[in-house]
Amino acid sequence: MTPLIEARGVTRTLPEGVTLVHDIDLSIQPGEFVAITGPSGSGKSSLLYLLGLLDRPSQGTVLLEGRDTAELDAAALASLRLSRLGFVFQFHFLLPEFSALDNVLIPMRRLGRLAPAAARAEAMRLLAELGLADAAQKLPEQLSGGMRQRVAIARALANDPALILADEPTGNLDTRNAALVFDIFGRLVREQKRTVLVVTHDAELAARAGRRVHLVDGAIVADDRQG
Amino acid sequence: MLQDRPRVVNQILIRLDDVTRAEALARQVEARFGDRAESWEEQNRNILTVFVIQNAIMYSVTGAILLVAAFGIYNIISTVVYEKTRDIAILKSLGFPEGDIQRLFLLQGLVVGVLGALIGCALGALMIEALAQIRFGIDTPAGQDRFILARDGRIYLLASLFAVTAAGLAALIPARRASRLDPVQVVRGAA
Repeated sequence: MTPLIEARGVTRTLPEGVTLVHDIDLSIQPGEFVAITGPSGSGKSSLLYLLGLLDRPSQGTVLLEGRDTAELDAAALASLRLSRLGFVFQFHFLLPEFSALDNVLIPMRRLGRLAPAAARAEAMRLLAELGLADAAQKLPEQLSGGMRQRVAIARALANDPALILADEPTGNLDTRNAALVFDIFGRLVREQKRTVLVVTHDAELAARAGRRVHLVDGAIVADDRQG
Repeated sequence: MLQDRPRVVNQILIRLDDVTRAEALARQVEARFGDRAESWEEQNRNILTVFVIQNAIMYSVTGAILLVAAFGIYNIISTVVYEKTRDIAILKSLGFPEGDIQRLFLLQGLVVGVLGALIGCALGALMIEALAQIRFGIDTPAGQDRFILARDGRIYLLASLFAVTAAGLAALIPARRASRLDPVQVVRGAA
């Protein structure tokens, strides 16, 4: 089976000579829930940015659905991010001038896969699924931290991505909301067969994922599958 | 001058409907009759030179004002780009290409330029009408006791085109800078 995403011998070195990750081989199959764990500075986020096509490896390559992304230009990578990937960051990164609904609609409008009315209905469905139907017209500043992060998850799901990448999505949340976010990811994997890759330093939350990849000093030191 | 003799006709003044033809007519008279003929422009060369200098100063001042306005727009767009760094990064991470980001800020600069041109035209027209109300209260040879004002639409069009072009060019640099932002740097910085 072709992996959904695969890193082959990926190394990322900054121009000033600092190596963030080195010689990473990792393949993720469709429907997996993977947690990348490790201490601060171990290269977790760097690996996520590389797998999310936000950054380019200095050596090695990343394949998305069997397609080598090394040869693609910036516009082609942007197009893949828009249509095949969904991002959730530690900070919600919602646009403050737009309502929750409009924030979810932004990537949908850019992709243009759905007609405006259908996109609006789909965005409302996603918000309702995450318990935010009543908050659709509210601005981010009118929402709690947990609600903002759920809007960010709805936005990540907007274009029906093949892979959801989350970088410390619970870093700014209390325990209850952090558990809720991981519950949502678990449900997306179980019920919708989606693929989720989460970076977290919280071992308890990581234990909810089906697979845990542990990084130390930019290298994979453990790759455990549950069951 | 006709032979410079007293008590004879020694000067003929010709009044034209179209004053711009005076120079050509003077040359025709000289060629045909051999007598010296002067157009009004030639007679008033010194005064007209003052007008030329006045126009040069006016265009220099206008150019300087437009240059300052262009720098103002550059500063506005640069500030917006700086304030929107995080939003630009998130749009890029969501998959918005560089061209989109560039167009967004270029459009903003052009909108500022168009709005500025519209407001400037309206204010200019109002000021022209205000100046038109002023009477000098003295008799002039031309029978004109007020400002001679230009209401030519082409002046407004030219100034507007210049202002919008200046706005577009001023927005181009920050727009390009915004489109080249590395989202990873911004996301890392926020974490």
